[in-house]
Amino acid sequence: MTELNRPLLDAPIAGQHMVSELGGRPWQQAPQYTTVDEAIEYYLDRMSSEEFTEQLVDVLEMDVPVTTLANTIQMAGVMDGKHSIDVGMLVMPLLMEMIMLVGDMAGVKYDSGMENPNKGKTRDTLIESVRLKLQREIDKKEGMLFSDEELGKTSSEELEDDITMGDEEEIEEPKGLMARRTQ
Amino acid sequence: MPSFGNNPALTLYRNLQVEKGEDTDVKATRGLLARNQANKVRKEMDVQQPSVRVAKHMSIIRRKRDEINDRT
Repeated sequence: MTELNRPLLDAPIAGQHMVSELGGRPWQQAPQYTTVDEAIEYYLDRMSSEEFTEQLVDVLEMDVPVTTLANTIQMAGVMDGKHSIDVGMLVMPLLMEMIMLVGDMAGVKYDSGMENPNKGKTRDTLIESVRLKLQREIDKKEGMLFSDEELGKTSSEELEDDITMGDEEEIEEPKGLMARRTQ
Repeated sequence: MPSFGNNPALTLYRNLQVEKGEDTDVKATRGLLARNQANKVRKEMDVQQPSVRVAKHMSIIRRKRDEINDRT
């Protein structure tokens, strides 16, 4: 437990990325491969090596989605100054296809990352909205029983209401021939 | 480990127009004055577009994948 609470001292210092000289990083230089074809060639060469394939199969067996892998590989290429982000984006679908090919060839059951992982699960936002709706309904019903207007009414207002109500009351006149007159 | 959210890979993969048919057959031209058919086909296929070229590469790999999956 003490291991977990120990501060990570090897983490980068805030703002560290701003202290390096401009152009000192590979991605700040002109990319090595400027066209899609060059980038494809680079990746196909790299991915066809036995070492890479073995590692890739291991990672696929760990249920890491193909989409995540492809994104990581192309991002690493950008960081190494191999190609630009634009070229990386264009190449990414091909990387996915290549990764899936390697997986198929090795007979690995991999996660393509194309199925929505939240499919079939109830969304938290939906639960929250339903809860809010119910809460409003309850508040509304409680308000109907003890409305604020009724609760906040002063005694003088009540009295006035009673007086007016009394005025408005109509005295029923007796009907019939034998009825006694009140006035 | 869900990759939904910030990962553009899925959208890029789905949006790429990959043709499922066979590769376009480019016939060899005969004669010195014959029009270069390869260039014509290339123009029709719009291979000047990088995304189209990527799609072409992808369709080849996908076909190989399908072959492997059909075998098993």
